[in-house]
Amino acid sequence: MKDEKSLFINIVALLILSFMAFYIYKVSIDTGSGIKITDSITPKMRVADKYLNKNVLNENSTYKFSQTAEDTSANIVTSVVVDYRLFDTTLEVIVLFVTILGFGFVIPKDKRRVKMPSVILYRWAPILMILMLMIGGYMFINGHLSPGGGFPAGAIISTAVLIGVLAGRKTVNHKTLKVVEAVAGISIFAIGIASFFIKGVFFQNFITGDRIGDLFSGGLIPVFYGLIAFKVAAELSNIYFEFYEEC
Amino acid sequence: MNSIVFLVVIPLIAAFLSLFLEKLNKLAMYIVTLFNLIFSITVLMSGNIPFNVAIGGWRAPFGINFVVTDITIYFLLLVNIAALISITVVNNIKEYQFYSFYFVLLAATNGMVLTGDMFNFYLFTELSTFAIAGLVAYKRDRLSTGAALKFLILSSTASLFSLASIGLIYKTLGTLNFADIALKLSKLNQASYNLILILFLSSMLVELKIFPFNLWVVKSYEGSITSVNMFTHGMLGTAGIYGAIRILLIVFPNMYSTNISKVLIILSVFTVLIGEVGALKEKNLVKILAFSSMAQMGVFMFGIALGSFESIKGALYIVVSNYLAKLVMFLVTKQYSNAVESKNYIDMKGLGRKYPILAISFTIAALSLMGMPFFAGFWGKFSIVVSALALGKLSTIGIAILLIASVVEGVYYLRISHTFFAEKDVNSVNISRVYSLIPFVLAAIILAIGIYPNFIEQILWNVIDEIKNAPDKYINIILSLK
Repeated sequence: MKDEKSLFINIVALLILSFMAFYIYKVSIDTGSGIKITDSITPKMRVADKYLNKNVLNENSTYKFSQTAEDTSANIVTSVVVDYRLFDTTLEVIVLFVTILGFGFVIPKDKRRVKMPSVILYRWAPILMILMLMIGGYMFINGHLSPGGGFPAGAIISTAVLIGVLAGRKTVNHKTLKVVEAVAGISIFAIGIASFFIKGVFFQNFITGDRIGDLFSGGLIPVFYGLIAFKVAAELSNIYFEFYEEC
Repeated sequence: MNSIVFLVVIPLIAAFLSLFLEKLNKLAMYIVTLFNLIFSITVLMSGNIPFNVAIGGWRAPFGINFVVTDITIYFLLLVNIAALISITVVNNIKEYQFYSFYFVLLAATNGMVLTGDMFNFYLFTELSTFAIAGLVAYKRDRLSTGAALKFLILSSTASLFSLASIGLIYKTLGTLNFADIALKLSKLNQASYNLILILFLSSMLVELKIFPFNLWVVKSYEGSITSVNMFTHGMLGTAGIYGAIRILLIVFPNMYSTNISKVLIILSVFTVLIGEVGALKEKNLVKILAFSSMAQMGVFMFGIALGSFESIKGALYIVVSNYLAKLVMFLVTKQYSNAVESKNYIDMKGLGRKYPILAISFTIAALSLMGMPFFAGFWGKFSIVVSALALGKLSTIGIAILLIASVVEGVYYLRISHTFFAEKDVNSVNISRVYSLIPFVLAAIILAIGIYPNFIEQILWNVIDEIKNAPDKYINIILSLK
């Protein structure tokens, strides 16, 4: 009986989905005048065009190796994420913060008996942890030059903590994680406010004039990426602890 | 006025600090809320309105911008005043998570009202729904956790739709700025326009409590404490209404040439019917208020969907009267239900004789919601009725059903008021008279608006003027900024 019911629900869901897909298909082949869903307005009129050429503020600013451009990050994605739309990124970080806070708040806590890990995992854990910390650190330090950046770096760093948890080794405790999270979060906004007092505008990159491609370039971008990495790492580690104690 | 971003940044910093403040959290809550309120009052008084702030120094269509116009500043004041009134009923809460959620909610609702960017608006909406879900789950029993999960699932699905719509907008028009979208939207094909609008609207309707999407309302009101009810109503609800006005009336102004406004009329009539009929059967006062707020949002949406400026003015009146009346009612419910330790209104029999100010405030709020003359709600229903009768068959049938529904509303609200004033010995009950103050002041404001509407009428015409002349008063201000 239960199977039949779930089969029925699945069929209904498929029907609704196929109806929606048909509607979207109809819209996309609609022959009316104007822009359709399948095509876009001319590239010159798009916001992304100026992002790619890096000439939002200054028409002459170009994207060329060992020259100065708008805030000089060598990676377009990083430019969009941590420069043009930095405010959105900081809010994403808050979304993660609220989610994990709510998770720890709602789920009831039961202590459980922890099984001892195998000797192999216990012995190899520090080596793996060092590797992961290195990769994570590399990612956020080079975030403005190559693909990567704060969020993936934070996730990789937090896996080091995860291995520590699984291997039963002492790594960091709850209190430290909370402090790291809060300090990183407050510093992101503190830099935003500092930029208001220096430049008169919130969240502006106030260290400029670097060359594209240098390790120490991009002004505040590596700083923001570092803070985001530590914050994401602390938050994800927090959720590993929650899961490990709970289930 | 670049400093307007402090309204979002200060509460977010407070959200992190609240992890460590422990007993000082309540003080911090008052300081931050007062800061937000005083700051928005100084912005109103400064005379710089309208202005546009580019965050990070990137000019309007390229970066994220905050815009302050007439609509924005009044809604900002409504949100922050609601926050200040709601936190007066917060007491005996030790969990630091509650305060963190509150600060994030304050920042998110202020941001929703201020922002001029589609994706930024989406993020603030997301933040506010997560914070509300956490606050609803505060009691941590079966009911409130279930209510929080229900709200979370519904609003996450809705935000999926709105994300799809934002993606389509960026794919076709290549921009995310409200003003830029409004400017380029006329080039869009009608079918694509409808698809985008339907996707975005269905996500907005969750927060506006309109019929097929309002299943979360009653449970989450029932399962949460009074201060959270007031957050949901006064802060999230008001910011959602702002989003509806800004996006439906200014960004998508061609809505009235499509069938979507007719669909909205039908949905809002259904919302009113379900809200009023649901409330008629209930005995739990909080549930009655939840159903009634659904019904009021239905009336608001009816006014917006009609699309004439007179009816939009009526809808704005409904917003103001519902905002004030529900705050009064939640405060009164809190005091009475604490006194008799029950939320059933029959148990509150006779309390109105001992504490008449609270009961009279409740009655004034109820009469205003029903739309009696000389109360604030009357002017709203009056404008909507006048413009609905002039707009054809569908809206005439709709307004007839709406008026019958407000009779039903009168039945259940006056039944409650009558129970309050019925005779019963209530000497064991004790409520401090201090708590009568805020409901009394709010009820007096409702009466003042009802008797002398010229002051608020002037503000509402300013708001409608901005909607009418959107290209001059909104779009050009943003896009001309270098």
